[in-house]
Amino acid sequence: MKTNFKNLAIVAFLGLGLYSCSNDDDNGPVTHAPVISNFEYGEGSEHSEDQFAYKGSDIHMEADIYAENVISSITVEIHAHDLTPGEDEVDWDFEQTFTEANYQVINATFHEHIDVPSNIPAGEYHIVLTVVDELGNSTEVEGHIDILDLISLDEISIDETVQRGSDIHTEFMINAVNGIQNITVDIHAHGLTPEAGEVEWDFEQVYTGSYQGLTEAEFHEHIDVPATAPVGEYHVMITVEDESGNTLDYETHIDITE
Amino acid sequence: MKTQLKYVLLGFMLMAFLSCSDEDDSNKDDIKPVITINYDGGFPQACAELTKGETYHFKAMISDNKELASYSLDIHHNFDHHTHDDQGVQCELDLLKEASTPFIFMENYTVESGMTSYEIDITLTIPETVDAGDYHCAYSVTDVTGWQARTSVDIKIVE
Repeated sequence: MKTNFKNLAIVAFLGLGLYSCSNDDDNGPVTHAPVISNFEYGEGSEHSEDQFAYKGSDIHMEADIYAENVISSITVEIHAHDLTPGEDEVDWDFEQTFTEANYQVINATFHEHIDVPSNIPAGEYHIVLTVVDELGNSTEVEGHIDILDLISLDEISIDETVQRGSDIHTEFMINAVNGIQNITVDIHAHGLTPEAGEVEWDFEQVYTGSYQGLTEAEFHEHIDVPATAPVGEYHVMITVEDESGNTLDYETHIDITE
Repeated sequence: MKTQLKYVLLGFMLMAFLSCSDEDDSNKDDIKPVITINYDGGFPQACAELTKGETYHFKAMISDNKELASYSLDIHHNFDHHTHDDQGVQCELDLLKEASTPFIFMENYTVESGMTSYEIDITLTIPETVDAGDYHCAYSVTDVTGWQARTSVDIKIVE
């Protein structure tokens, strides 16, 4: 029994001794890719985590990064998938790589403000944050952000046909993050010659009163069409100006009938 | 005899556990550097007011268990009232405003090799032409391993 125990002990310890001290390098050094946490981005001016930003402002971006092999670079990419630029707009395909010395550390707090151009289509954009460490391991996180117009119109309801002598019903919702300054309505015709008893009708009015300063308002006005206005097609132009001087134009047509 | 063997056994087990140390342990640095402005001479202190055109010495103490590598000073406006100061002091902020010509300062510096403690001393003149208002003043320090520590205070630039 004693011998058995001794033998068992010897075998067990030899085994333990030989196996337990394996060299870590056998399988190559164990390295972990960078870890990105608390990634937040959104409207710059409030440092909020809501995922939207206005054209012409900036996107606040912040993330905690832990890279045991030391950060080499941090790249931000922003692009859209299904947005078609309108008139005077261009695609926004943003990419910037940050290699500043104060980011090339093990534990970094990434904090940048990315300027949003004013001349890009509004809509949903895709954000990708990529961190590469000094060994080439990389980690990325992604998200979506809505780029909004500073001023937008919604639920537009304007009469298409109106009898002269009555009025045009005009109604729409306005969203203006900087506050509404005024709304201009301009109605005029092109190439209509007044006949006997008719007077050329060229309407322009600036509305401020109950709308000024609001960030969200329902525009609801009735515009009288003189009984003497020539019949035909008129051009309606609505301009909303915000308190920072940005404007939004909306155009439509209306038929004035007898 | 049986009891003795038990002790020997125990001894071997202990050896098995203790002998296999990770070689890296002795060299591995998992301690971050330390940065502080909380001493006489540390500048700026939370809520400090800096006058345009004046020259200031920005001072902070940095130290590390192994070796310091670099540090940075970052001053940027806080007209939008964002937060990342860690001094726990609430300074009275001006109203929100749009930046026009804000003061921006961001510079990285290298620490002479072999240092484990050092006093940052950056001489900086606040330009006359910058926007007055709320600013953040953020220091960071990085050690040779790559660990970073940061500290940030609210300051004001005044006329």
